[in-house]
Amino acid sequence: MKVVIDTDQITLLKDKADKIFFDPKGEDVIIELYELQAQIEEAIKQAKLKIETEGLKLDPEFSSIKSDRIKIMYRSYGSRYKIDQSRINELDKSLYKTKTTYVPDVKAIDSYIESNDGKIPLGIESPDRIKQVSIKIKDDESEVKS
Amino acid sequence: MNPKLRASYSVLDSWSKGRYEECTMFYFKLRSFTSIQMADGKDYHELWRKHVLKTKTLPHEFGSRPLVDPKVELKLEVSLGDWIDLVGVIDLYDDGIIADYKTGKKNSSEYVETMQLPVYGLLAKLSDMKVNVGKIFHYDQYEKRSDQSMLWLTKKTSKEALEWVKTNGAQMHEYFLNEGLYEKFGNRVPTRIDEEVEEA
Repeated sequence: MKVVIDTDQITLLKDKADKIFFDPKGEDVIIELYELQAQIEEAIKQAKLKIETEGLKLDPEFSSIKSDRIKIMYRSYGSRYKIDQSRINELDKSLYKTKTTYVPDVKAIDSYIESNDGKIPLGIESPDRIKQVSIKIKDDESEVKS
Repeated sequence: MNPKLRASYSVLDSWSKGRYEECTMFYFKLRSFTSIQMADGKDYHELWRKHVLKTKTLPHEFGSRPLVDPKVELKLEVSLGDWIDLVGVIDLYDDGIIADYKTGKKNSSEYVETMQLPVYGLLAKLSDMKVNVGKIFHYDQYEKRSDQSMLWLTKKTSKEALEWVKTNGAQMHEYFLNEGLYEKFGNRVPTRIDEEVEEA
């Protein structure tokens, strides 16, 4: 597989990205950028596979390699231990922590506000939320999310 | 004439983490403490040292690969100025690679994040040794599993190590001088570098 990255092309596409506001064909620009992204992601995926294969050949126990600007780690992810909830009562309390999470009930809060002249209940905050652009591309039956 | 600070990675590391009392105790050998884990580690180090000397291969736990011309427990000492010497003991040196053994639960990739390998690399380079790579060989004796991590020892790592050593060393030295600790407890007795490096 050959990946050719034309950085001038990328700059051009980036600058034309707002074309979609003026012409439905403006979507071509966005799609081309995403196709380039997909190619690069595939190249990175292949590079990781190569690093894993060759790394294990050189050193079956390699865990990480670090250089001036990069650290490559080969490790498992996720929690090292899990709790068997069915046996929680048998487990020594010193071996686990209990976490309480409070989640706002959006419908209940909206209902309260409507019933109380627009007042937000004490203890509930309405944080400023910054708007962001997200892009979804439909490719036949699949979707690529931004 | 002011005494010279004889800085090792361990004391500098304690100082850099704000563990000043521990650093002072350790530097002036005012208190020694050996945990079960530390004793375990020492036992494994000794086992591996003997294995390498006898067989010229890496310990079984780390793959048993043949080595070229291994040196074990290499004691190094370099002067970084009229107020500081950098000292250290490298567990294993072979063909441009310096290596340190670790035991316990912490993965080798965590140790690679510390300044230990860059400092040892600096020490080795200033001792005119050919050094390209630092390695951590870690053995988890509880799960009987090992892992290894590697750090390229570049000009950048040497520069960072030198800055780190001098920054922390200067603070330590100033503290020891201001508190009169060198007079109170005596400086570490300078030892001659052991030129009889154990060769396999």
